[in-house]
Amino acid sequence: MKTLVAFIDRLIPSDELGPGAVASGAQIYIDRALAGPNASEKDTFVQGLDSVDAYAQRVHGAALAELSAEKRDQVLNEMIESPFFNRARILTLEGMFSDPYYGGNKNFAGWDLIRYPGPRTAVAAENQALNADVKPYRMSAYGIKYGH
Amino acid sequence: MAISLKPVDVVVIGLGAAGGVAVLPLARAGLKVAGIEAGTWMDPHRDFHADEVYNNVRRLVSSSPKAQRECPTVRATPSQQARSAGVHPMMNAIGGTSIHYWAQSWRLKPWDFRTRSESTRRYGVNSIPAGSTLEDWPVTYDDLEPYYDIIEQEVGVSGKAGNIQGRIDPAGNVFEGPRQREYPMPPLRGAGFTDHMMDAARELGWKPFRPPAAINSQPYRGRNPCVFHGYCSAGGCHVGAKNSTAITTIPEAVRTKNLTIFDKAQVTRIITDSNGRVTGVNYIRDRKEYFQPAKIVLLAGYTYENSRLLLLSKSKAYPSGLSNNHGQVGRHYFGHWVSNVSALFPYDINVWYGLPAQGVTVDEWADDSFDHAGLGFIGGASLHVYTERHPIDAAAMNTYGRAPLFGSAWKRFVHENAGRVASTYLQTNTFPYETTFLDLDSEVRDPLGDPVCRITFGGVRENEQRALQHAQNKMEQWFRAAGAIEVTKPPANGPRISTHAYGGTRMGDNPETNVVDRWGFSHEAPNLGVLGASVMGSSGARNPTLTLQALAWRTADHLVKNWKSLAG
Repeated sequence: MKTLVAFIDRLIPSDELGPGAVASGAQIYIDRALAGPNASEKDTFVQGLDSVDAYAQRVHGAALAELSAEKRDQVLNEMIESPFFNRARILTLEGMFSDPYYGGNKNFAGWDLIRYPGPRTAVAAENQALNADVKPYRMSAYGIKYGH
Repeated sequence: MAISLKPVDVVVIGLGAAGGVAVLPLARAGLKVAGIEAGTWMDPHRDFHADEVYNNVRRLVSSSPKAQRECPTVRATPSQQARSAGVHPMMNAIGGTSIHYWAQSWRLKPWDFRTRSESTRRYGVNSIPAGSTLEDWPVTYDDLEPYYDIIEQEVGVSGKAGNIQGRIDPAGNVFEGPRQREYPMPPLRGAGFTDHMMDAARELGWKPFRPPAAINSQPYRGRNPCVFHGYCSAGGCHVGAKNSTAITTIPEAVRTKNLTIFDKAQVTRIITDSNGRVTGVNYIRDRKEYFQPAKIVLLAGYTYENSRLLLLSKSKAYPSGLSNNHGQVGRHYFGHWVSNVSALFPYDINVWYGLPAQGVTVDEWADDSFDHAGLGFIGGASLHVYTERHPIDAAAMNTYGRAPLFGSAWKRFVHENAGRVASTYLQTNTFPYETTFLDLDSEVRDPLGDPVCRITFGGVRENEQRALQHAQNKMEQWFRAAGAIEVTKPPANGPRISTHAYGGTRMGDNPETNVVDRWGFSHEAPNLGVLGASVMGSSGARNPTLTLQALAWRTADHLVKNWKSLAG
């Protein structure tokens, strides 16, 4: 988990545009996915995290979580073509931008970041106008229990 | 030993898009029908959600565990070992794929039914793609028109006619074949972006229109209109506006009291007697095996399952599979060549909401709408621009080399651009080839121990490649005219696997090259009919469902009118 958090924290960092992957709980989504519906890829994914740490240790002298943000960015850039990077990025996007029901997208930070106005039960024509300024509707499809 | 049940008039195997419509004319005619379906009823409250992970990432509506264990394998050539073809949106449920489909409800063009003879006449015999087994269909557009009309009314289709009995209306598709009347509902409303694209197409001199959809644009027969909430793709409709057979023709057939549904029941074999007639089906329900006798069997599974069940149903009369004494089962299979050309705009296009069927279509570059002389291919592709964009997919957008794939610079990029990407759906006229076919896999088996279906691709297809590239270039031209700043065209290669799978039990007059006759009944087993896209010998440049439903109704109608001779 420590390596995962250190990794996705650099994929989508917290900054002046708002919370990043970790603050939004993407790691919770990933953890639950690998424990359940994505269980078949869990071993491969964990091996991938281990090899990131091994690489960080060999090239930069410490496990990923022990490196500075700049060094971690360097590691990510060095492995950007790898299947693990791609898979970790996809799972992080799923965690950050999915319905908060799944554990990520806390306070709808993911949807706010890309300006997705949220699922509505019915959508009027004016909400589909070009350049419409659609008021964000910060609500999980599964009710008010989720997202905050 | 299978438990033998009380005989019925007709067994329909599979209550999906095809079987789900065929049961209605049969039940209305007073025939006793057993609908045997491996899935069960889906519950809109429990099963349908405005949730991208549920619908699109985990595909919990469009795939079901049983069907996924029966997915076909694929290999490039017969000398290779086949590998898994991955998750495929074939599923088991009452309503089948019509639960989660995009509900684009097209009629094929008159040209699609006569592509071989029309292309030969206009461009010469060499225009027919080399290695293709393309034949003219044994039915014409005019033969099918009354059945298209029935399905549009019974299922419920929104749209605007472009040709009513020869009167052309440019608000509809001017390239369509003549229709007897207008659609039962007006087309779905446009969105700001699709209206903008419509204007851009008109400026190019093209004739864009709002395409037909089996989605209610207004209340229809007691069902709700669409609410445009943006979770239609790969999901079921929670308000009942998407007209799957589960909420239209199947309940209507149940009301006649002549249809009995056996759900969670998996048909394992179609049984034949020594004379080669079908006597019924074996199925498994709750681990018990039953034999359901019937005078007529209509096979209405997904394309792969239709071929597979025939090939598995070997008997003395059919040693290499039912209705396969001419070796045609599995032949003339092909997957539709579809393509997404995407574009980035320099302003918010706001396509989050809506649905894939809410869009604008251009038909100038499909079928034989344009002169192909000197182009080196026949056919083309329809161009369809649509709405509905989900947040995970939007965040995973191409960065077009304008930003890195992670970090704060990436955040700034998606903040600005995630709402500025348009997707399209290009559907290519696709044809069958000698070396592309289905058979039974030699290694991979389902949990019952039966081999799964195996796809053999067989080689490159230059005709479809050129046709798709031509259409992709037209799509880019259209996007550029509308103000796009980036356009991405995926490789136009194939053969490919598609949600639109055709052939394997092709319909045709010649029993040497086709499994079923012009009415959908086997050339070999006279009381066996086949329903679905597996009977279609070419795809057209549009979604198959309305056509396979019109054909299914026509087969059922033929059965009712010729009951004595067919039921024996």
